[in-house]
Amino acid sequence: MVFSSLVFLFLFLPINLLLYYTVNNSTVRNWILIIFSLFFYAYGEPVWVLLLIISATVDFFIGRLIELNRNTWKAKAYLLTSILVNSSLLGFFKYWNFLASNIDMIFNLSLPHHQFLLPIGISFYTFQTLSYSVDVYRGEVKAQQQYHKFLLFVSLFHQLVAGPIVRYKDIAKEIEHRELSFDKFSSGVNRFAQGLAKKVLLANTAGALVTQLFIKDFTNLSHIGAWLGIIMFAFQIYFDFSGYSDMAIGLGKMFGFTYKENFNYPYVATSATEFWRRWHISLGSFFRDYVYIPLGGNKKFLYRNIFVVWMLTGLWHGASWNFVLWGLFYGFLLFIEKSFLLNILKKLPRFISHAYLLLAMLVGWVLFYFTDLSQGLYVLKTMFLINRVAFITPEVIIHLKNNSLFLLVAAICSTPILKNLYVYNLRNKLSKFHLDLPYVMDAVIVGSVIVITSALLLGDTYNPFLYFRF
Amino acid sequence: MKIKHLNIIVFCVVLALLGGMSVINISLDSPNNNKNRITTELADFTAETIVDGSFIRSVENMFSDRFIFRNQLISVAKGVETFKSFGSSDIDIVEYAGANVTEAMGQDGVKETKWGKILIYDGAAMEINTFDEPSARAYANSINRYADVFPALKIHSMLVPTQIEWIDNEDYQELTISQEETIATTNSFFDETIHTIDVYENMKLHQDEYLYYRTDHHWTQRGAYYAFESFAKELNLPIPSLSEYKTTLATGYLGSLYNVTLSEAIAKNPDDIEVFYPLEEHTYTGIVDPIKYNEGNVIVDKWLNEKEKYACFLGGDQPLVKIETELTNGKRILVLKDSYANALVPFFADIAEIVIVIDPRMYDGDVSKIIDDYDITDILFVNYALITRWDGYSSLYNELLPE
Repeated sequence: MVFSSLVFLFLFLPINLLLYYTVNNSTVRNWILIIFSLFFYAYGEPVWVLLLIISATVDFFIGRLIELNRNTWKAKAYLLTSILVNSSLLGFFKYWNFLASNIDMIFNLSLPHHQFLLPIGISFYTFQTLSYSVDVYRGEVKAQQQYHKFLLFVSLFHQLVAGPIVRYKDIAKEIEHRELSFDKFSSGVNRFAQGLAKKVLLANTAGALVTQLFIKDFTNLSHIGAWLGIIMFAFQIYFDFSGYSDMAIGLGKMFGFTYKENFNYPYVATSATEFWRRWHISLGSFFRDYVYIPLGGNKKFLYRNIFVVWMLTGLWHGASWNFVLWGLFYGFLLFIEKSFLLNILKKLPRFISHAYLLLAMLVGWVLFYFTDLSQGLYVLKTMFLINRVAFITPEVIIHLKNNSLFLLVAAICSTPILKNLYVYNLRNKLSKFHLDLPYVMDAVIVGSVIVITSALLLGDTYNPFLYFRF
Repeated sequence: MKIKHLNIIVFCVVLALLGGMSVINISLDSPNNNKNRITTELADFTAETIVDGSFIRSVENMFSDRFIFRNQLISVAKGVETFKSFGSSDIDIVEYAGANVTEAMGQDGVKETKWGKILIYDGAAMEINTFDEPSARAYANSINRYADVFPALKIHSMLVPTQIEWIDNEDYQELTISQEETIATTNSFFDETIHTIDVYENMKLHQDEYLYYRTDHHWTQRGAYYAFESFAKELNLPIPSLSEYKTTLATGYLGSLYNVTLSEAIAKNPDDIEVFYPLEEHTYTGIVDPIKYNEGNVIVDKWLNEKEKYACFLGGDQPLVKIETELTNGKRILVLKDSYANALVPFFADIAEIVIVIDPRMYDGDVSKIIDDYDITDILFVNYALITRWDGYSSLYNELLPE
């Protein structure tokens, strides 16, 4: 199930909230959340829900075993088992076919491939269970003694399918005991509505145009068309992903959990280094804490460490060379920024360093978007005027004209401008008229967002075929 | 709870109210649209449908299909979309699913996932042509097979150009592949035994007349008349002039492409349906299935008062239509077709003894039996030129042939 669906919004969520708040026993509440979470997952993955349960079960026992055998070689062995199990799950489902076809190509073999689609969210939950075992091993957190509480952590539907990657130690207290309050619920509602609007109003609109512009054979792709397409993709992926994180954080608050922020206006960054401190923060910090620093961080084998971390970051996004290239592209940028570029960027006017980041980011998204590298290369060549094609086509003129306001709004929403205007300016002014007015305003926004987004979701499912039979 | 928690109340009330009312709406089982539409049904609840996801999909479709205030909310969505640009724009390009909107839907209502684009320009919505050589070749080959299987019959092919071919703006003409080329290329794939009917030239001659609907992907019956003229001339059959026909006019038609795009720009400009009744006495039978059938005139007047007015021609797409006249000129025509033929075939009541029309999307019998039973002399294939973008029709034609 996805958050931005009618069934989730109007059936799953209200029923879940109703049950959760009508019972007053924390164990029953936990079970309600577990059952709803497993249902949420099984709704889209009726078979592979077992995989999630297996991963949770294995790490639950490993956590306890590590704790029982602390400071012995056995603890290390158990940790290695967890690493092995989780990476085999991920390796088999996500990377085997990719690996096998590359080996086939090099050695002229024909290794068996499997036909399974990638189970939803496997990249997120395997990382979450793995980080738990590592944290227990490092003594940063106590092992959970009750199975259902650990299953709750792993299956929690808020962040199960699209992050943020939540670490056990960050919510360990809330797993045991959650404070529910109207204040929390209220700010959760605002946050959820914000994410829903980002996803449905902005990401979906941008996405519809991306598929139109990057139609598969690129007949008619013009220079401006290529730029417009990749800018729209940049908006799509940011609003999609950060909208999902907003919704997850908002849902967390409604149910008494506090998740860390995952995005902080990445497109206002002025360097790739800063971009990655603002983009998918939970992933960056995962690789920092569990790969980069253990490998030696800045102190030992810096270049190797950068290379490994960014190759893995790329691969995490998908089993294909373009993602590896995308990761290494950022690895390279971070490396030259560390070596000298950051010092130069700091001295330059802000708009120049910002322009550098935007350009790098867009080039990065081309590598990211096209799993076929030759297509990505073709689009890059078109963007940078190397291919000889039309400057602009009538189709692109129509799209530019018909999305002029959307482009402006999307650009503004990628920065904190709107938030600052609303939170610090408009709300203050309203409260001068009447202290309650800002809250009325919040409520109006929440109501409108729900109605408008569900209208757009209905519009998306609007299927003219159902209306044609004559 | 204080005023500062007002958003919680709004949130919960809106979700619970819309959700609850939708559930009631579904349980009362009242499809909130007109009677011509197919309503979504739940798939059977079995291990198989759970695992392959089709059960869940049917739940989602049903929920959105019967969502409370669905039509009002879709209007809201259309209103929100106008905020994408500064000022309003009457030119747009819209993506949609399906090769030919009605054609893509087979008998069981399975959605065809092929995507196409629609240009909205000058108050009209028009499908944009693309060319796919393998599909065009497959289309031609399926018709070639008819010549092999029925060597004694004359086989004719008529590919009809659509509205976008005649737009006056060069920039927007570039968006679409020339249908003159599409037709010529497809014709070049035919065996010599296939007789191609050129309707392009005659339609080009009359392009300034009302040949196509602005809100629908079909041609008008006037457009079809000029194609009929070309056909009858090729076969040396008599051609009544347009003024000889008794006519009627229905107004306010918003057709298929309006339904796909819901574009305000074309809603401002609804179509008229001009109908020409055949001169000759004839009997018309539309066979929906062996038990249910319609009888009367090839022009089914009752549809002119309904929303789907194009269905007045032959009563819309039906598996098999039979037209018997009192003529004795030895012409017995089998028409294999898409819905473009519906506006054309009524003219055939004046030139043939018998016309059998088979829609391969709905008919699943063996065509050779029909040919024997009715002593067919000619087979005419009628499709709009854009059909050759898609290989679906060739397999439908192949399936009608004896194994």
